[in-house]
Amino acid sequence: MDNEELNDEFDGVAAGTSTGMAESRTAESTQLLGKGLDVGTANIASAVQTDDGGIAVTAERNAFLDIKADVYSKNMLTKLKVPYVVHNGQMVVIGQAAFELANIFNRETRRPMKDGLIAPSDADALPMIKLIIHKVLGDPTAAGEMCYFSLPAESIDVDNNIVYHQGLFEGMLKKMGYTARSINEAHAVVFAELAESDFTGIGLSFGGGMVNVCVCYKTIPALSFSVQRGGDWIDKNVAKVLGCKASKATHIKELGIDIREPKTREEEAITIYYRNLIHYIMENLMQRFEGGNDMPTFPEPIDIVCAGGTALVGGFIEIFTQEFAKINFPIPIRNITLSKEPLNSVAKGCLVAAAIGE
Amino acid sequence: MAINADVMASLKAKATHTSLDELKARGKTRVRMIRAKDIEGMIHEAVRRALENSNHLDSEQVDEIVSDSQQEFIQLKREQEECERRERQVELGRIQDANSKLEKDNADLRDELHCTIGMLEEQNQKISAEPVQQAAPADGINAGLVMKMMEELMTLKAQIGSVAQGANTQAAAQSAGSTLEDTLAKKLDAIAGSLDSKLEKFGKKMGISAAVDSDVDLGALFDSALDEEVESNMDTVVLKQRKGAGIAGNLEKIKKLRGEG
Repeated sequence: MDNEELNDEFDGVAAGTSTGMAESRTAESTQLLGKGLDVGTANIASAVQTDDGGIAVTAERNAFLDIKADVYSKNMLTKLKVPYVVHNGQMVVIGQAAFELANIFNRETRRPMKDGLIAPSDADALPMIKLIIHKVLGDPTAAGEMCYFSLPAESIDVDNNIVYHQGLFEGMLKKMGYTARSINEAHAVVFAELAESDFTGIGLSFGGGMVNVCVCYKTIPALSFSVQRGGDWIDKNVAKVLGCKASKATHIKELGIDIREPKTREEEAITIYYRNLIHYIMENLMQRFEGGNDMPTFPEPIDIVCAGGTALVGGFIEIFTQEFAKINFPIPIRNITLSKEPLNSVAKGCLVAAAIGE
Repeated sequence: MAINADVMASLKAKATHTSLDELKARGKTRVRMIRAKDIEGMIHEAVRRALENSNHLDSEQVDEIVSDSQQEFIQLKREQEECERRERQVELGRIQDANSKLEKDNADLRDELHCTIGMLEEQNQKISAEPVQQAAPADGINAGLVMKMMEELMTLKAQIGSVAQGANTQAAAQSAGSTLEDTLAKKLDAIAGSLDSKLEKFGKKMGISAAVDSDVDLGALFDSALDEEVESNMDTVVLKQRKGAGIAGNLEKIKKLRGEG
């Protein structure tokens, strides 16, 4: 299976929608294999195994937009198949459509998750999140099917509440009929990407709200942490210096820029903040290695693999390598690579964990 | 006369000391000698004659010039001495300042050293007071070694698990009366279970557990929000799917690492 084929998208009903079980897979095989769920600040994605030995990833943007609730809007959204929810008398457009509408009307979307975690103050967004998760994940093929979901590591630069976040999603998945387990987000990247290195190396998940880091030795995590800077941090800062909305900066970023050759002022600003983010991560990782007494000593050079939507921008690995060369990293590194499927990586790693059934 | 004294002083200052042995070493066995007093007299006489021979001055004027020049010389000498004295004082002040600073730095360093020694002694006492098993990690257990131990334990667990499974199967296949196999299978199961829990506890203690702790169940907190029925058209919406590479290779590798493959 070549890369082109891997990246092909196909239209199809998301596996196991609320209408019932996945039709193309037997209940037995799905129960055995489980499901992976990437609960990201920007996107929520699920991964399941398919009959042809591959995986299918279903994703939806984790964003909402409140619009005027009237009959005309409701009919129009229904006709256009734009997902919406009527909540507390308010009409809320969900997912990618919300993001696109926000750009058209120059508005900011509502983001139920901020900096990688769901905020206790956003409890009114829970029904919408549940709908998105249910849409991407579907019903369990059998009662108690294993579902591993991604969980950020504790941040080194802010005090955050991971227990609440974990408890919420565990509860939500249990209510849907799954046996819910969590796995560190960057650990999932190692599970997905570093099989050839015996799952030894450094996994980095560049998400919307956070960057997660996991140093792993033969599947066992030796060091995990996160920083509360990610794609949103870049967008927010670009918006600040250019005087535009953050969603506009996101839009520019997602249009397909190459940060090696920024062509406009906006792209230049994005590049500057990308460099700053990468440098920040590596500097902190280096400090952990140098300052920790319990850091592993690797017998051979190890690999660094980057995944996540924020790593999708053109020239990411080249800029990463340039920034990496500026620091005196304490352990020898063999390769710095970008995941072949940066958007699928965390969900795929969760699926691997579910399939192992730990 | 002061000028005479100065001539003497100048001669003394310009003269070098040497011993007879040194002269001998240079091949001088005899030396000519002249008294300083005679040199002084000769200079004095030479100056006076030069002034008188100029034919511009009479004897009284010469005496006057000699006297004035003597006074002038004495004045200049005093001024020079005063200037040198001031310079010496300034230099002395600078040296005293530098010395005071060095003494202060020295005192600070001494204090710091005492403080550090005190802290080290305190730490040393604490370490000595702690039980041996707590002091062990601080002595720097190699994390790689710990991981290797974890790996070995996991392999052992996998091996016992497979032996137990085999024994169970065998026991079931044989007659119901074969109690020996049953007992063996039960014992192996118990060992595997015990290893499992010890492995997990050990991993958590070392901070390298593969599992994420999920003891806190906050499910009830969100019941009302999650049970809320909302009007939506989500059922009619079709989401796109992306294809990805399979995970069979990953699973095989993990099993192999665990000694299950």
